[in-house]
Amino acid sequence: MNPTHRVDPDQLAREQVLGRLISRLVIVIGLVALAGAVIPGTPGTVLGALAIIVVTAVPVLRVVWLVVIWRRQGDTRFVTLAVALLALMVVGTLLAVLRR
Amino acid sequence: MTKTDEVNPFVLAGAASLTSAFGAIGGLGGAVLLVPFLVVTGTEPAAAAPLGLLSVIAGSVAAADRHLRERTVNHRIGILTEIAATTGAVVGALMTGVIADSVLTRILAAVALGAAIAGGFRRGVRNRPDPAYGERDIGEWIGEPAGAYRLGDGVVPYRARRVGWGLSGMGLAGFISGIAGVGGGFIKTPAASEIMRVPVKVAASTSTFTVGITAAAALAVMAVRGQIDAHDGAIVVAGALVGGQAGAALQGVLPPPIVRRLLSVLLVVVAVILVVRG
Repeated sequence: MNPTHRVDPDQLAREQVLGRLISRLVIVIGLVALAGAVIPGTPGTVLGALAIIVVTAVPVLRVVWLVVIWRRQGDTRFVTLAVALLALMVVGTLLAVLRR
Repeated sequence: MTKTDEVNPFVLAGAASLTSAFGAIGGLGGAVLLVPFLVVTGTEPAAAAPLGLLSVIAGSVAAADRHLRERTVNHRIGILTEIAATTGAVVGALMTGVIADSVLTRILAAVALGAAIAGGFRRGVRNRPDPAYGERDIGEWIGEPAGAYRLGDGVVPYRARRVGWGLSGMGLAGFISGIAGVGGGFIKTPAASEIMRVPVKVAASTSTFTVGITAAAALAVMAVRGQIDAHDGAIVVAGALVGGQAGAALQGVLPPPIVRRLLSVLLVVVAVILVVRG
């Protein structure tokens, strides 16, 4: 193992905050999804779509959050990889739009 | 019109919850069970695929808090491997409309059988605690795909190895995720633990994080193509959020080998049913 490794205490602290934030968001998304499932017609469809959009956005926003944290640490290599991943997701969606 | 008319909403929510719980326990992604179940109960594979992806995303999000608190998720390894997986997912998702439902059903059967074999033959803990490492070393390490995690009273250091082979496995997992609407975690977790030599608990937590990203990328493509039913999607999200939290909580209690063997039996049954219905 590399004896010069570094663990960033700030990242660990922020991860705890992120975890608590996500756990609260899970409750909100769950309630909105439940409403979308039981309410008939357009309002239910809108709430269902909202729950789907928000829950799908969370993993993507977590990558954006990592870019910010790693940039502060000066970890250029992994910032580049995370940005490349986000770009790849955008390109994939654009390709789907063009193929539609 | 929804394409899951034949599935009772309560059954759909219960199935999403149960499969998401199993998925979160082993980092497998619950869609590998949910999608075959939906197909067996009468849902068209093309409609089951986005629901499977939704269950994976919701399960991943629900498990995040616990995995972050336990510091078992390594984001750097996750992002490194996710580049390959997302590329595969986008290619796979773009091909879903091209492949016939009968072929997709056979692919799902193969996926279920592959997951059963992967789960049944996977080894236990390979990495051991190192007394040279302490509390301050726990977490992911800056600038490298490595870190340390707590195991009992000790601290286990680890580093991703054989990265090229590992990334190949991740690319395959992503392709299957995109084409069949499953999370690909049943490939990702063994690829990380057996090929890249990452401890299985870290591999499972990291896989749970990354399957959410892969599924989000594939789902975005399916959303653009109008493949998602908001009502059924909401039912799956609600169920999978509950299941994901329960699964993450159980991960720390149940012995992983028992869960993996149980899961393998279920997957073999699903694969057989799919082949017979073929």
